[in-house]
Amino acid sequence: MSQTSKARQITLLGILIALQTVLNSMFSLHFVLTKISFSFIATAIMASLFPPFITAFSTALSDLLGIFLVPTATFSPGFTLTAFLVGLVFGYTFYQKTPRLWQILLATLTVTMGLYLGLNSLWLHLMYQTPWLPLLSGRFIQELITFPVYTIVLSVLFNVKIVRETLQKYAGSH
Amino acid sequence: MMNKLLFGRFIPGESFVHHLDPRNKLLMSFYYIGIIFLANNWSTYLCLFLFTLLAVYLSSIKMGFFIRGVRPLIWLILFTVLLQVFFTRGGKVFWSWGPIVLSQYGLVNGVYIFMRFVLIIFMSTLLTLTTPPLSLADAIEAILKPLRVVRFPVYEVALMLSIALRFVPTLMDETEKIMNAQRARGVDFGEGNLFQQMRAVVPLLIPLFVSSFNRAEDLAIAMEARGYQGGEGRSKYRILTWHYRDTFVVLAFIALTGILIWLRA
Repeated sequence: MSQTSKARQITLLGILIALQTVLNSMFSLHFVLTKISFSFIATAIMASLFPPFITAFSTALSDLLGIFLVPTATFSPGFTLTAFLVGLVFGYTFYQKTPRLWQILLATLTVTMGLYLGLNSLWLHLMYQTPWLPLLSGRFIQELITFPVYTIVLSVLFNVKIVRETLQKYAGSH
Repeated sequence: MMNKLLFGRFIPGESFVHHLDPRNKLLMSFYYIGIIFLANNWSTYLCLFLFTLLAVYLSSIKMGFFIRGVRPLIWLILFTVLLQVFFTRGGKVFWSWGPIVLSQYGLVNGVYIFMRFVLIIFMSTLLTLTTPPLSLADAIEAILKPLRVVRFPVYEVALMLSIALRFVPTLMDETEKIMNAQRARGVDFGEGNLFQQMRAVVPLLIPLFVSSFNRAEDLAIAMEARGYQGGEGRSKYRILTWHYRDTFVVLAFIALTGILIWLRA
């Protein structure tokens, strides 16, 4: 890896981490009691440009940064691990390719139903001993809304001409 | 807007807690979240509560700032506490309706969970109120340093963090500008049904991404023009120093752990 590409990678990753924090704190969809943040878009963009483990680590860093700068939740290493795994799943699905619909569906299903519903519920249960049944039933409804939102937004995003061109330009520069 | 959020968190001061090494504060905050799970009765929670109050007192920051830290999470706390109160069985039953039960254990557990939330929020608020974000980035870099033996790019990660910290306010300002520009064109953010909200965000996200990529490109060109050669061997402007008071704090946390284990039922 040349120093030139290293500088580009560092600046782009730094700015995408900042963007994840901004999107997490400033933009969210509100539907009934559900709140869906848009930081997953920055994660998906990062995942299409950088290898899975770099995306995963950067997403975990962004989670920590969000806690320090604009806290919207309490710190828990468990949620940071979830953020790492979200980056990893997106990384393996989107890295250097324009994903097809079934790939987006599979990635968002894993993230929403596996990581958000399964793993995050586990952290909440371990931290606050929240009973499983009401915890899972409440969160299941939330993830049922999150899943199609993630799928639709990502499908649209990867097909916007200017986004595709920008991603191709930067993917080629590394 | 962002300046308030970013720099409003850190309150400059000369207190005992302000002068602690940020590495110590970060590690002890993680440690505190770990040992809070040792608490399982009134005496252990009281002990943690007194310890946290002492830490707050030593920071010389008004209690109101810590209570404000709880406010954004109040609905999450109430939701969790109510689940705990109405779905935990055990002890004397005061009222029941189908699966919903108001029992003695439920009430006690609800109070414990509330205390756990408040204590964790107080301690993480203490960290962010007494430590500037750049010092926290330095602390993360220092904590990651041992990973250099497995060729982990510690300096690059530190630089990434500094860039992210620097650009969060800039991107927030940029977002505000784009939002205002789109509002002037008739876009309603946060209004309408789910689909309408999703549609409203697209004209905001695309220019934000394109502008972010341009900023990254400009910064990379500036770094290359100044001969950026990676972080290895570079000197540092902010040097972290470990003092006796840091060792004292570590010993206090170890003593707290011992007391919690002793008081556990």
